[in-house]
Amino acid sequence: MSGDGDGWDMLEAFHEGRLSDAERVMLEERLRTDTALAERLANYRDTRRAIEQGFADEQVRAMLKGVEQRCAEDGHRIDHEVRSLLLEVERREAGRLRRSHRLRWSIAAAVIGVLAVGAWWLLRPKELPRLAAEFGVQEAPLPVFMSAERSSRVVLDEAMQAYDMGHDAEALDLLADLSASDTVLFYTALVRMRTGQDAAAELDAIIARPGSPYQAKALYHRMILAMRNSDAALAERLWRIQLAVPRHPYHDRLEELAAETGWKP
Amino acid sequence: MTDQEIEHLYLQHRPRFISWAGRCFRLGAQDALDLYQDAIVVFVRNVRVGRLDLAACTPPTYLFAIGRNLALKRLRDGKRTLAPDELDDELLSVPADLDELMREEHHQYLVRNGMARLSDREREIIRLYYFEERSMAEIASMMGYKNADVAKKMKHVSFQKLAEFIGKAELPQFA
Repeated sequence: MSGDGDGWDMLEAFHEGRLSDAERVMLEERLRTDTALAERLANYRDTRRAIEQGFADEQVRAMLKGVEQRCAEDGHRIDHEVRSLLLEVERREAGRLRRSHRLRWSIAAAVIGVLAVGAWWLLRPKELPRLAAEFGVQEAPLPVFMSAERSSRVVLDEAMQAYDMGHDAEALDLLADLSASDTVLFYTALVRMRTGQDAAAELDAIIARPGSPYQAKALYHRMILAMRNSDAALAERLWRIQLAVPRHPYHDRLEELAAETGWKP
Repeated sequence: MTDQEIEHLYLQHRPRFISWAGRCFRLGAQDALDLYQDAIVVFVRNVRVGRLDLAACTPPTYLFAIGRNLALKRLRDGKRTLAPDELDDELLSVPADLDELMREEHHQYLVRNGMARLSDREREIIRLYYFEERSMAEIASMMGYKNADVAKKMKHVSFQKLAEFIGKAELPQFA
């Protein structure tokens, strides 16, 4: 056995278990005594393993790239929908202030139309606050991973402790001392909602920020807030937007809510 | 791990990891995302070879530990200009299997570089044989070689070139 091809083939065949019993025994015998050969086999195995891992890694990287791309596309679409939704809400509130005679007739006509659809439509808004209480989520406070020397981090930690212990006034005071990051806005909204206050401004600010890590949860709590205020149209619209959010943390709750309300995707 | 499991893991811990990496290592969003993807790749690799005992430790614990090791490795490689005294003491004092990780990552780096220096056809024949585990007859048919022997010869040449690039120039052969 000599030459590149033969020796190489033999060791590769040995590695892949393709040798006959006699050939395998002979090679094992040589490997016991020939340290250079044993080292070459080890090198071959290392390189082969690295090649296999390299391709497997490439596959995982390509998949993660795809996930990021999909998330970005979903994010842009959701951002667009949320912005449209917020604009619509603003328009509706402005319209409510003007309240022209014509608008009142339009609303009356719409109410009559709703009445004609079915009695459950009339009952549904009354049920929403109850469902809001049932489907509301008590979010866990942020965990502390590493110690930090910055004072803002210490204030945030204290705010999280106050939030966790239900010291709402103290938590709000502490959060108010921090700059309005997504985290601060999110927990401020949670405390305000827990104490029966309006948290729409904080939640809408998070929803309007592209790529916010709290966006899915903010949408969910905004929906709960709309339900609490018996704003069925807004709640349903927010529910529908959330269906398009990939890996929504409250996906199961959204499905259960649909079963209760009769909302259809 | 299936693709679905990897995607689930990736999306589940993405916001928290990026926020943590940004805070602890003063990384920008893109650098933190790159670090997270590298940590996921290493995590998946280790799970697949059975090196992580998921019964003993939760996936996020491993994931954050891998991320920390990779970040520290980059700092030591000088890819980042962050001064060590800017880091938390706790971070630097954590005992980690850094040497082992660095050795493996270095080897992977050599292989990636070596693969990049091969021609497309050389890379493809290596991929088909060693990763997809195709037979030489299949490879000959897929790549338009005359027969399995020709494909085998090409595979040998490609592997030898790669080994030389990696620095393991001595291919196994008998004296």
